[in-house]
Amino acid sequence: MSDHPHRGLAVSTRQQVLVLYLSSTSLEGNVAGWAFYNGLEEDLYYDDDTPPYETGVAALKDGWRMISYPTLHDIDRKGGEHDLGYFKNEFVFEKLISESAK
Amino acid sequence: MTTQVEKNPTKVEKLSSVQMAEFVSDGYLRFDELVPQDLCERALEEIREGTFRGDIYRFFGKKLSEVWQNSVMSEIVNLPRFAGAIESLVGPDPYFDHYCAHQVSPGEIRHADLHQDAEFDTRFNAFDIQYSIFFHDVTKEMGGTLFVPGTHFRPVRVFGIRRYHHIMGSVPSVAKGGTVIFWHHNLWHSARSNRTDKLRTMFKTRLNPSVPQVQLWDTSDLQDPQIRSILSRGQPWMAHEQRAEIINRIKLWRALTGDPEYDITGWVTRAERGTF
Repeated sequence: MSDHPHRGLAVSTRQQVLVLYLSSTSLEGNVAGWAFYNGLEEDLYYDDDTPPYETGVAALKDGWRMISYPTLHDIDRKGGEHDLGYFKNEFVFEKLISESAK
Repeated sequence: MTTQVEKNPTKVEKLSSVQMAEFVSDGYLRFDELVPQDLCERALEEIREGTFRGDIYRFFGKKLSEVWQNSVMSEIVNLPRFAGAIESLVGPDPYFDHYCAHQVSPGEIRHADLHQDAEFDTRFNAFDIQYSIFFHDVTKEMGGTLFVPGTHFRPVRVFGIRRYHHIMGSVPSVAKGGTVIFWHHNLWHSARSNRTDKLRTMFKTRLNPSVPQVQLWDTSDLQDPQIRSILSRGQPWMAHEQRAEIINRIKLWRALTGDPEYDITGWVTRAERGTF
């Protein structure tokens, strides 16, 4: 695996990814859930039960770049108005951190 | 054939209608320190001795009373409040499905483990229960099962929800020894990291109903006004889909009570009237 062409490319930044599940389809919604991956660290995860921000807007103001905005879905089928499943308001953000800033 | 239940009828303390509404709304009921400490210690000893090793599905289809007759587990499920909860939710002497003694080693890290056990089970007006027994104290550092209240109406593909690392409103099972949680088979849940130097053990069992799940509990408080507010309440994660959640609860409450006209603010009744 070590000689795979996709590995070991010289880059000077690492990505941090913040995924927010909001209470609305708007960035102004409150944070209802989240996940965080830190490309700077051996341990990718940050295991804390305290939400990082109250809203999506607060994350934006703090310098997170939104890279994915949830698509609005029609109700899939007649009679499926009460069907529920995965969370829909998933907003993905990133920060690119310089290796030297680590 | 005379079953153990018929020979030794257990005095049961059934759930109330308010408790059943809590179950329909949140998908679980928690009873702190329900199992006495001496029974907990004997259960842990049986687990250590290997009583529960082997095929965890080997009792599928048997009645609960036929399983573990010589084990402390039989004494535990016959405790009046334990037996009453089981009978209220899935009827007298339900069918045994499977069990598992879940153990998380000292220092074992579980980052992304959120899952649902049985999305393939398409029943709506019926459900299995799983009960989780925490035989010893579980601190926050020790982890314990995390439940996401109200998610039992959301079928997903088992580990398809692993990306949800944190959900507002989640409840970790920080508990004293002897605590039991009875939960709907489709409630989202997760094992958590054990950041202590002690082994964590939780014993889970799944039961299938033996009779139609209609008014199996103590219904003397069926008109309690709390029921409406319990069935109407939201969860922090529900976002703009809260109405659909409540409608699903109304449908299940109708099935469990046998009352086809139960409603909250007319949401189901209005649609049933159709168009003219």
